[in-house]
Amino acid sequence: MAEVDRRVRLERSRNLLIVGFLLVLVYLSAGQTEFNPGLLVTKSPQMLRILGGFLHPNFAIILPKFLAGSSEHANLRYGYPEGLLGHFALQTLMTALLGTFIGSLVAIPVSFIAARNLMRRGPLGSAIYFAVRALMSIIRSIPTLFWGILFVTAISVGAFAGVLAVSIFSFGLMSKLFSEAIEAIDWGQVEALTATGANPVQVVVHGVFPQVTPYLVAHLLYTFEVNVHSALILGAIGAGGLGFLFIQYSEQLDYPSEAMLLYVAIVMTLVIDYSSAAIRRRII
Amino acid sequence: MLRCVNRLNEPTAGRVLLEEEELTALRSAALRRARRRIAMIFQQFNLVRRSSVLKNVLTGRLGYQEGWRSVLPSFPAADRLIAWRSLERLEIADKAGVRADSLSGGQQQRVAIARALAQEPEVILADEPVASLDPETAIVVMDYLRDINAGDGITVVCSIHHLELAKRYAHRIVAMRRGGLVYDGAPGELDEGAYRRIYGRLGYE
Repeated sequence: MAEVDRRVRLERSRNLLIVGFLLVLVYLSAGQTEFNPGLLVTKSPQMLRILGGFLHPNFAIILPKFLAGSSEHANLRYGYPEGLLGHFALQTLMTALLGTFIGSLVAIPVSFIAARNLMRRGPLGSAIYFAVRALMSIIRSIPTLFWGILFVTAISVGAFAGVLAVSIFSFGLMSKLFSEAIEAIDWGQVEALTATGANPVQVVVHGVFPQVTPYLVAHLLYTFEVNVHSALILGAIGAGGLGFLFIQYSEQLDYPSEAMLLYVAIVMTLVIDYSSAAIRRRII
Repeated sequence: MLRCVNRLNEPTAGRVLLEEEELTALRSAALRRARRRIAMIFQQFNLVRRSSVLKNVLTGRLGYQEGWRSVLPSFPAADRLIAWRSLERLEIADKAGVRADSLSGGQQQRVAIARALAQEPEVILADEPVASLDPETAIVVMDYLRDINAGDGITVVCSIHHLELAKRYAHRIVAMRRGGLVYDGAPGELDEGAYRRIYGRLGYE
């Protein structure tokens, strides 16, 4: 029994040590991040003003006039051009859509050479597999916002930079998801086609592709969903879309317009996320 | 062992000969041409589940397509005719348009046999073709294989653990135990002693 007691005590002191260590980490994090709950109290009037905007959103900016040209940006600080919000909302959606398309167009073929089960059948295949996987990881490790900043500085402010950033991100996400779907296929179907004397490309076209089409559609929808979120943010650095307006309203302390914009973004996101999730559930 | 014949698995030692050709020495294109001559049927059918029955049978023709055309998802009319005849042969042409995974196990195995037949092979390797089927369906499938063997002159090499079926359908039975040959002869000559060697000391079926 003494042995059991000793073990229990040992385990307890080890657990205490772990919890203590984690608490010290949390305490240090508060210091590093200038964590200051007092500000929530002293800044409450400011916060209430912003919240007030949500109670009285500026409906004027959503008046439908979809073709409001981008030349009106300059007038922004002097008023609320009609239709501007609609124009930027549409631009956000189109940035996400075009980015999903371009990124996936590259990601779909690449996914096949990034699938372990198809590639790791020889030294050459393995080498290609690891090289492509490494490239994919590097691309994914750079956040979409950073890609956006890079393109805005390298090319120019505007939605095109946003499309490029979203395309690269889509490539990273889509190639990861789709290559994993390919890795999960039933190998028996592949073997059956190999046994007929089909060449490797034929096996992929007739034996692998039919197995992964539902996942292809599902992952495309999911990537689009994520891209709408990214496209919203990207506007904030001048890469087109609603984020651009959000920063402008915020700098002008125009809380009612800011609130209206958020309402639009929330509705847009909810509609897209729910419909995409519903479709994905149906096809898988 | 069957999977070493068409090189889905590589044998660790020994050679496999089909007529004069040493299959175990072939590489890429030559191996694919040899595989054309050797169709295979699997225990789990291994149909492309989301594709139609006709498309599955058409994949039996893949080995005959050459060049850039071969990667297109369409087939020449001559191939479609061969596939259709195979389906008729297996009496399942009425299901040509439906998805393979909507069929019962027995129907799926008939489609798999039609795919093998579309290959116009010299040999069919049948790897436990009825092990996932109920006894009645198993008889139906084995009957088709026997008809193909007798009617089309295609050699059928069938692995099977059910000795009664083997005795009923085979012309020659080869029994393996722990990687070694324990019986090779006509089904009629399978006597008590052979049973004992196949199934070990217990000696009953």
